[in-house]
Amino acid sequence: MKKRGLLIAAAILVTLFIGGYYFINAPKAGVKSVKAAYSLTADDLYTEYAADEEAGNKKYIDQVLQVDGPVAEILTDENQAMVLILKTSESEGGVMCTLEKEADVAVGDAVSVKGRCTGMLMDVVLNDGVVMK
Amino acid sequence: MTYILLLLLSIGGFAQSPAKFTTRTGHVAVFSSSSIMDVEAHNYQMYSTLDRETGKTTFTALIKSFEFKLGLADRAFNNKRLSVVEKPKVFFEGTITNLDDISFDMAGTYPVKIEGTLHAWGFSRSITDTGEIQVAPNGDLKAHTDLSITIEQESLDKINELMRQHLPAVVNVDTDDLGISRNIDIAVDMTYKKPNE
Repeated sequence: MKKRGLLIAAAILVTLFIGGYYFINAPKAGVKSVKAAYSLTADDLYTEYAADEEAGNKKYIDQVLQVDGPVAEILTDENQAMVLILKTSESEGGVMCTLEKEADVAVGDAVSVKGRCTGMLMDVVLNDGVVMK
Repeated sequence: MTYILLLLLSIGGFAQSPAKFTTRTGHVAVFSSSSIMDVEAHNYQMYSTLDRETGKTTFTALIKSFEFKLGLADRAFNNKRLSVVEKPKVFFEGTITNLDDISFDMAGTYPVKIEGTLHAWGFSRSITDTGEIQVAPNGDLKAHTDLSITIEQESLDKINELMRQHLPAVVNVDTDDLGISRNIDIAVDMTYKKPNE
């Protein structure tokens, strides 16, 4: 009986340890199955953000966005991830989206990407991106 | 005579490569150790510039683009108390102080010395450190530098307190050991394409 009690206690401890370890190390959730808070064109997003960056930060940071636009440039980052730059009417800035997985996309394609907005640098920046179409 | 001078100046201007290198996909990694684990975060969406004529260099990174290996730290840094939406960027501006030792037109590896200031969350830190620039045969650049900063005890306490709050009560870990330390190491890597002529 005592032995059984010890086994149960050990099992509880192991479960707590694994649960705690997972909690401490749990990765961020992806965005594919998350409903986008805003769906808009790359041009509209960039224009609104560039007009008032502070307001853009409050509205968009941490939100999942679905953005449509033509691919102007495809880059590979230092982590070997695929990065799409969606063109806007501005010559310098666009919408930059780092993809979770490589996608079959070429420069000039019209795409719709979903990603989590992290703010604005030279472009409006999306992370954890997925090409929806 | 004036026209000739202007003509010569303009020819000189056209003959030289554009001075400013830029990248949108620089990498900045942040490391901090405690007695039981290392906290490490990576950001691959850094915008950086390097002016070959003046030696001025900048990088800007969004705090929300940092990905922590430790999910707990990620949740702590997403906390509203850290004012990430109000102050979303980390910005470094500096100068390469040994610019004369670097030949941007000749492939090779050149040690660099950098002086500058890092701005984040309203504080600024002066930094003097070293790094390396590799000039590729096609004129592209790879730059690497390691920077070190010491953060305020107050900022450290704030972050570690947030980590403590995000830890479930059932996890029996001493959060004083779990948190980050005041010494933060920063590694920066950039690949700059040669500017179009």
